[in-house]
Amino acid sequence: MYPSASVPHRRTVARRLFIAFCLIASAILAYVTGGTNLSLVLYAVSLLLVIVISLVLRHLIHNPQSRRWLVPASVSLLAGVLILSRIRRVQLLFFGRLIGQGTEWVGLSYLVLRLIHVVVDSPKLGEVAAGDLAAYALFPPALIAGPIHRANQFLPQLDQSHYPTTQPKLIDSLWRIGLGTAKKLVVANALSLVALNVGVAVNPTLPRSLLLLSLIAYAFMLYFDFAGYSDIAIGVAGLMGITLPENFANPYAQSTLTRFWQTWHMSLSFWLRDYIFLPLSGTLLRRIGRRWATVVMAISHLVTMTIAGLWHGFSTGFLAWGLWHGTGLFVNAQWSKFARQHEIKLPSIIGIALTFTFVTIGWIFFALPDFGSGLHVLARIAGR
Amino acid sequence: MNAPFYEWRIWRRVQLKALILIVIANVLYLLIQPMDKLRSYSVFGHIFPYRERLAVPDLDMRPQMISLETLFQSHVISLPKAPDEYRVVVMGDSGANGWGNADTATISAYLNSAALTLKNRKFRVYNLAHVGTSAMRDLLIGDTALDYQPDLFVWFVTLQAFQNIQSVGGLFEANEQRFTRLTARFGLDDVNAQAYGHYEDTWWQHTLLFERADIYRWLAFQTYALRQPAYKSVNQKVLQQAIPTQPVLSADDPVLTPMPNATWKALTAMSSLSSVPVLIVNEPILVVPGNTSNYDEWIGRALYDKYRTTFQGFCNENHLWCLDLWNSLPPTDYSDMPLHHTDQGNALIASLVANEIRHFLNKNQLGL
Repeated sequence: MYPSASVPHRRTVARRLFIAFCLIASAILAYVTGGTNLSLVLYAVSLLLVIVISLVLRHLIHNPQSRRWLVPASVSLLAGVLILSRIRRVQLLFFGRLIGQGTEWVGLSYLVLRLIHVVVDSPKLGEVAAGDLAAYALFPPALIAGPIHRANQFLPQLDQSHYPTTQPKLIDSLWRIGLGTAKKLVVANALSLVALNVGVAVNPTLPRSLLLLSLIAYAFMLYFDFAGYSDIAIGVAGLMGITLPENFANPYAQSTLTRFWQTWHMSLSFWLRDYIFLPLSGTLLRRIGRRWATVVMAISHLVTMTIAGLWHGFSTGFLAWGLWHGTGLFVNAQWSKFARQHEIKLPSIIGIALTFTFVTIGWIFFALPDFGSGLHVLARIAGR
Repeated sequence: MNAPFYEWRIWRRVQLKALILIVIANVLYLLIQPMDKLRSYSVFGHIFPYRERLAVPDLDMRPQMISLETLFQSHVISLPKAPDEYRVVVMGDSGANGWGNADTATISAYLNSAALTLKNRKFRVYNLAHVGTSAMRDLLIGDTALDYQPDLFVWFVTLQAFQNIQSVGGLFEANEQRFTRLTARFGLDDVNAQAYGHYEDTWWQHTLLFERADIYRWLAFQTYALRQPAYKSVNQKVLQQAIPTQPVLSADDPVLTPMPNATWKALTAMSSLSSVPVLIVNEPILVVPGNTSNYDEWIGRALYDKYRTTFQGFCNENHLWCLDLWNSLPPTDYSDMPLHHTDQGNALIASLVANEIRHFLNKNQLGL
């Protein structure tokens, strides 16, 4: 028998209803975005992954000593699924055919990052019910393209009211949705007409100046598209009474590459920092000593950003983009150290211009399918 | 954000102001009619060179959902006609367009190389063939081309051009006004005419709200100039594909029969559209040797044979100038699809068409 209309009971029911709503909404979103029935199957596999990880969390609570092998094994499993979904050759090797051809595995990249965070930070989270974990990992507003919110911030919100509790909160959420829609559907879509793409890159008659303009248009299109999407996600989550982390904060107005990455797709940058860069650099420093700190930093930056590149897709273009930013972050860190030691201070406008130029050159490799075509466009812009 | 931002009355005021602005913008738009003027501007021929072929706009707009006036402004036919020019327009499908061939290796390009002349006027051939097969669509293109002073049309058709289906994307929808005029004039009654042949001009169709998509498409089409034209090189040979041993289309296929069906009216309409002569060419199809059911992966033999008989009969009955080249190319002259040709294939077709024109010139002194 249920206790009669007690507050905790109402909370439990509301929580369950909210979780059910999240999962149904995510399934619909996956089906609509993915385009085929297979999208639903892949969504079910996502749910299965969440259940497996929730079992892992439960096991870790009761057997903390197994953390040593179970955490790396879980991370490998999640990374393996992501790699498997991305590499055609691996799919052919395992299944003899391509899985999901013409179908998108909606939100897998983000799901994997969220679940890795949950496994690695399991001591801080404690036991998490499978339903709660599913609502967190497959939260509909953030399902397709983030932000990559953290479980320790999300899970306590499951007990709150799932609607905007005050008028300012409601108006804020609606404002964010409107702003995001305008950024994405008006500005980004307009810029996409002239932005760099394969068709533009292979047009031999296009003058160098227009190629450069199309590259700059691409840089802004990407920003408005993604920042607009994040605004919509944050606004919709707000209507559901959930606060998602900010993802963008004027990235093109930053005077260093490090600051750019602290303001561009922040939730991903912080994830990379917390789960790749810091553990890797810390381990390397412990193993080979502080004497080699510069080498350790170079390796850590390059590895972190290479993974960031390949996370977007397995192509030589994304690989080049990752290496470009890894190198840039390392050089930026060394320059900052040198400038501090010698008390050099450049006007911030120069820093902004240099950072924007560096980032925009990197977008060439991001926009085009392979390193060769990126290099070709870069050479044409450079007048060669 | 300051406090008043959260008050509903502020939002109501914003909505009211927005509504008033929308009304003012629409009234001004209705009075000025900027789209009429805008359609006559193009980046092609000014900032960017004209294209040798009609563009295939495949951006965010629905394929081919573009006004033909705008489409033609990207084409080299927009250049003024030279005094000594004998202007020839080639129409048809992707095979006539030269999909997969360079601009210098299309049927039109080879016809230009044939250097035909008539009373010191040099033949200049313009490629207005477009992707997709539809006789009605070609009629629409031919009607638009009349504004560019053609002296001769060379029109490539094939069996699939006479399918009584709604076809070729949004070209009819975007040119409803023109198509309605053709429908009324020639009594067209195929499915395209039924769907898009009844345009009625109303004042609200000239408002900003109604024409907003046209403005976007016009703008988007201008940015198409940045891109490489859609055609690409084709290396794959069609003979590598398996051809079924059972007929792929039966002789009474409902989309193509009765033969001639309502779409065939496009042929007579095109020929009586103006005094400009029209050479209708039944374009070559791939004939796969040794298959008794089908000529190629699309066309059943019985159906196509019936089509050829109908084509010849229709031409004779309506006194149309027709040329049947159905089996004039060897299988090795096709590229990725049964209607797409290699460079050599295009050269051969062009020489056969040039011979026909020469023969006709000697007989009739075309249009002069």
